[in-house]
Amino acid sequence: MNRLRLIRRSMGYYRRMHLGVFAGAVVGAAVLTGALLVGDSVDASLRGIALARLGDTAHALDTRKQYFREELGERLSMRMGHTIPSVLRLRGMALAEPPAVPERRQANRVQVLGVGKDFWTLAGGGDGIPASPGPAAVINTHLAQRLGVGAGDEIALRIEIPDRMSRDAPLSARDEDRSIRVRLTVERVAPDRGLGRFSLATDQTAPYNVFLPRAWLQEQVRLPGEVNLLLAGTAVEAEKLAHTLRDEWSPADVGLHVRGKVLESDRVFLGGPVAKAALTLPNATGTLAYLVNTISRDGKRTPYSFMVAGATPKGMDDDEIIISEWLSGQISASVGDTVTVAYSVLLPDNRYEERKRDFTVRGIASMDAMIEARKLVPSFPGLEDVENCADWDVGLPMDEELLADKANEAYWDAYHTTPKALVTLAAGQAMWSNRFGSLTAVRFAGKNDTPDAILAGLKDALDPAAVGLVFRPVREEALTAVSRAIDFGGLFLGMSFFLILSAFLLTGLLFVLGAQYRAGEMGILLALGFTPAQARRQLLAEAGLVAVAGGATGALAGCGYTWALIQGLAHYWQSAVAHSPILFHVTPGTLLTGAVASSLAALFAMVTATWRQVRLPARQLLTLDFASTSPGRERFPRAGLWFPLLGLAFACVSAVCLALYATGSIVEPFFGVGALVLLSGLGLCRHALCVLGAGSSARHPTLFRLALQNMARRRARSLSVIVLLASGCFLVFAVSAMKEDLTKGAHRRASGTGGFALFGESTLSLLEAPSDTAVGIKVRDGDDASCLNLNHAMTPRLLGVNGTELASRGAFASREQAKALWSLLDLDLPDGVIPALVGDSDTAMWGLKAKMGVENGDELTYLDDRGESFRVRLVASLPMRLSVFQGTILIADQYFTERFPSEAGYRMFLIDAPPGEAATVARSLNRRFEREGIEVIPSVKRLARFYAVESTYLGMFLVLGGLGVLLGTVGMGIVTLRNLLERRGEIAMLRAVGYNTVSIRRLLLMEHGMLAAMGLALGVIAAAVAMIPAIASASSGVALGLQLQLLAGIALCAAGCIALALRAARPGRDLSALRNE
Amino acid sequence: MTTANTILELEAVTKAYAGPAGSTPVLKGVDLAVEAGETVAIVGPSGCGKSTLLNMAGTLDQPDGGRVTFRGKSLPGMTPKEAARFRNNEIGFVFQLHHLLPQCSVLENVLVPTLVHTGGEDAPERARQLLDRVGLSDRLDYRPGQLSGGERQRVAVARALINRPALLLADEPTGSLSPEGAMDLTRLMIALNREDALTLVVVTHSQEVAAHMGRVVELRDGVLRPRETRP
Repeated sequence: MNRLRLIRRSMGYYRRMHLGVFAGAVVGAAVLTGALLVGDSVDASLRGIALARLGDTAHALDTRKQYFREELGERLSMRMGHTIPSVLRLRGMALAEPPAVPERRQANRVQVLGVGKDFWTLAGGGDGIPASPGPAAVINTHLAQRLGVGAGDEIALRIEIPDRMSRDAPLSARDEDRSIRVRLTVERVAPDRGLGRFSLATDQTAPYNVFLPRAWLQEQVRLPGEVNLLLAGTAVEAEKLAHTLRDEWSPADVGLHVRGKVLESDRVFLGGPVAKAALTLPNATGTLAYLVNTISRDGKRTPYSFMVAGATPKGMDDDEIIISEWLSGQISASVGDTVTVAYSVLLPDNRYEERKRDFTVRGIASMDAMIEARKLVPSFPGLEDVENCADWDVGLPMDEELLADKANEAYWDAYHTTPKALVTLAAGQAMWSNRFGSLTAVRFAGKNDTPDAILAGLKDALDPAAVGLVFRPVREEALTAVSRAIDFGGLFLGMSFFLILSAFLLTGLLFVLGAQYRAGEMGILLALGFTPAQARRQLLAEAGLVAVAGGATGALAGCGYTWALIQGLAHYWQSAVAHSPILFHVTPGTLLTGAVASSLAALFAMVTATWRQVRLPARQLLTLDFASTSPGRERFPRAGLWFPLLGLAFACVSAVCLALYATGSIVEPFFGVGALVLLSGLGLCRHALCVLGAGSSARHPTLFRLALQNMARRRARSLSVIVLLASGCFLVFAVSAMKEDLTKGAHRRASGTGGFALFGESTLSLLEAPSDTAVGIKVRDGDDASCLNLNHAMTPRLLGVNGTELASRGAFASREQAKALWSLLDLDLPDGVIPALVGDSDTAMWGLKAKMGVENGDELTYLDDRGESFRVRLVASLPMRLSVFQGTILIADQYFTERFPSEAGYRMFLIDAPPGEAATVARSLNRRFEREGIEVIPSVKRLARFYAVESTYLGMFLVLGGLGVLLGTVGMGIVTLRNLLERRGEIAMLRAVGYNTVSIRRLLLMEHGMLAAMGLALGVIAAAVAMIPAIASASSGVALGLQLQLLAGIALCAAGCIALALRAARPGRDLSALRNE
Repeated sequence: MTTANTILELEAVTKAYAGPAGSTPVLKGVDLAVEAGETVAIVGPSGCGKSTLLNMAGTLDQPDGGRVTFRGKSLPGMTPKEAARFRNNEIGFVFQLHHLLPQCSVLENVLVPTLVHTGGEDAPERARQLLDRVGLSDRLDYRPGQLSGGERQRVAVARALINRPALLLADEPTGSLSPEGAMDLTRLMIALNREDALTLVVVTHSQEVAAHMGRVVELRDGVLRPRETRP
């Protein structure tokens, strides 16, 4: 005989008792491990999606709206010895009229990818490009499903025509077609599990993809030989790639060319870094050409004239001007006369403002000299092949009357873009510099300055990154985003919290019931010389074995629970994972963690439950009747009254203070107040049981009074019933009250819609807002930081907003706060850091997990059009939890246009509509801007899309919390049954003294029903306190009907469990128990 | 009177229990000296504190005042560990309810005290001998549930003696037995006293059991008095 044998004997003998404890531990472990495994499954699925969308891609050179020669990719491939596919990536819309569907189907924001065969090597060669070079397309499954088409079907595709020069830029051509429409046959549907879902955005949602032969696409969009994306596989070393890029790139790749001895850009303006580098070269002089509105003197004027700044003699002052012979004659100006130049200046909001400047005529140049100076005027897209001034397309505001000037028309015919006047570079830049650049050419004067030599010199002086040629480690970024994704394990653990708690409470409860049954055994061990620690260890060794067995079995059963949850996510809770497919995935480490954590939790529950009992002296253990009295010291009842009363008082004070003084949301703080009421209420219940237990017996007993006294006999058991039911009710009711009705209050300016009835997004940008009542917002695509993206957003979508405009409308904040809020965007922060607002507080808290503040807010780093990195500081967020800007970062439009001049126009719109006409306005705008792929929807609908996630979480919590409550009622049933079995003798005695079965049942029902009622009432009261702000809130969606149904459901469960226990125990049916006594 | 042979001594021992109506004194200055090899019966009405007195002698309870010594060593001052070792080595307990472990066989129940502190390789053999002495050598593998009440109590006696204690404390050992069973058990304990010089202190209501003891003391009104008259 040894102690191990004793443990073995006990385990065998009390196996039925342990089986119940084991079952509780298994449930707890299954739920706990299952929740963790859901996290694993989501992580693994996101990782799978990230790797699928990238294929073998590890590095990407993505210049977005700046195009470069595809030869660069070929040269890199040759040097690196690895395929580096070139891709032309454009935006577009797809349309189809599938025969099986009555209406036509459209997909906006389609990614149109011009790829070569080499692209598919990134997929391991599994997929493929259409064999024919003609109009045939491979589309991905997501797009095929959206359009309802398959291989062999025809689709229409509208593709954006890229602009070399931003359409926002002065002198850009704005009237050209911005898109083309082509009809294509779907050759194949590429599955989304592979490169079919190719995307560089860290998002689990499959994009709409159309893959076209690159050369064909280039030809269609008039961009021959140019691309905007290079991809390198995992076999390519990042450092070597960067080094080779520096060696192999050429300024000519990015549209820089030399005409004679003049360096120009396809984009007309030379970007800052290019201009700066070019001017460091020997014999370089910068020039700036511009189209001015008028040059006038004493009422005589010539309209729309080209001027050049920088081609002037040395020593010329900035207020002097050299005019051509032609101009001199036209406005009768001579040397020394003053002429006035009127010109348009581009403002940050894309409007033009006319300004004037006076100059003194320094000299009059011959037309030959001016024709020579014409070499410094670059080729403007809107002036090529134009015969009449009236046909000019230069993006500047033009006066029709001035355009009809006959003399100017004649000049155009004779001299075309020959400048009419020259000023110094400083004077020109002071007038015409803009965010696109301050030079249009750099002139070289050296004898050896051949085009090749100039470009070679420029290459040496310029970092390719400065023109946007830089590879990003997209694979690493994707995996980082996945590793920092939403912690679904934690989320489900939180949602299953009450279920886990109930399971382990049940485990502890069942164990302590067993331990009480075996109290005499503990006592005799002590009497026989076991030390208290040895006797405890003996019992706890059994607890440990049950806990380990339960933990291990439960961990395995957790796989089943995970599977069930994944089925739930796939069929009922799709919104929680943004409709992403989640695959079952088990990590042995998590399984082990779940088993160990569950075993410890079960053991903890058992140790805690028996804590007082195992510390009782042997004398008490040997004699105590656990069925009739509570073990341990009987405390004076009044001592336990102060804490609950203080708690209630504190809850009242907190509630009043929150109601009067709180500035932010008080929903969550009130949840805390409700929890305090719950705890205080439990304290009061405990006190009430103490008082009942110690009550005077001098009064005449009644059945009701007897029931009350019986409740107080086993205080811990009674309290455990109340705790389980009250906590469950509180959580379920309080959480269900958090549901919001987004339509309430959505018309207010301070709401998440900003008071705008409609919200629109377009695939192609609109140069102006679509209506007078609309506010246009500039968009730089990035990661979605909203709750719809399960990945961590690395570089969230950036929006350029006009804060003054929104402040004047009092949008997204109360009228008093709106000005202060939006003025934060205009702060001048040190080191060139740009102030930014986060789209809403949920994005800040969950999407970005960011700290905000003017001084110490978190900063995000972005790359601008020039490849320069810059920082934005999150100074604040929009004050509401959910807004139409969820998942985005807002900066002032002037900062936006400075950093992203290529992002012409607006792609997001907030639109006011007269009451009741929102639908009509939306329909009208959707029709009018169909070619731009606009989608205008009610703003509330956009909020609802985001809110669907939270709403689903609440639904999941209700289901899992409900299961917890159910388990709690099962616990209550077990306690009832145990009470009845332990009191068989007492019940038989009642029968013996004349109680009939009905009276006995009534007594027992009263006793246990009152416990259940106390638990339910306390839970409901505490939940009602927590719900006060939600009920009072304009956007509250508290469904009282649902609440009542839940309450009825829980009450029915509790009543059912009591009834089952009464039926199983058959109280009062026989008197054998009395005879045994 | 204390002598060199005194094994257990209680001197001016007091004990009170707290209740709803305040503190209720149970022992009001109990004096008792038990010589080695002596048999003592403690009698008295229900609730007079007999079991409390026995529990204090066995370190299962602590006095509020006075001294309790075993072979001159004070018991109330012992640490829980020392008290456990004392109970294991020096005394044996027999209760009204046998408190056998239902999951263990008769032999295993007897060996339970050897699982801590003492035991030795000869413990199983001694357990068999003890069970033989109490007449249960043919019941070694039986479970408590398969024994009669008297047999269970005899197993409890064997268990109390497994570590060769000097003092056996029995609290109403015959309380739940039939008259025949009670007499059998009493005879067994007396025999053990005679053969092994085992000191025996028995709390009992039974006049028959008390009559077999060498000395009878009565606890009444919180104090012990020798009972002169025998039934």
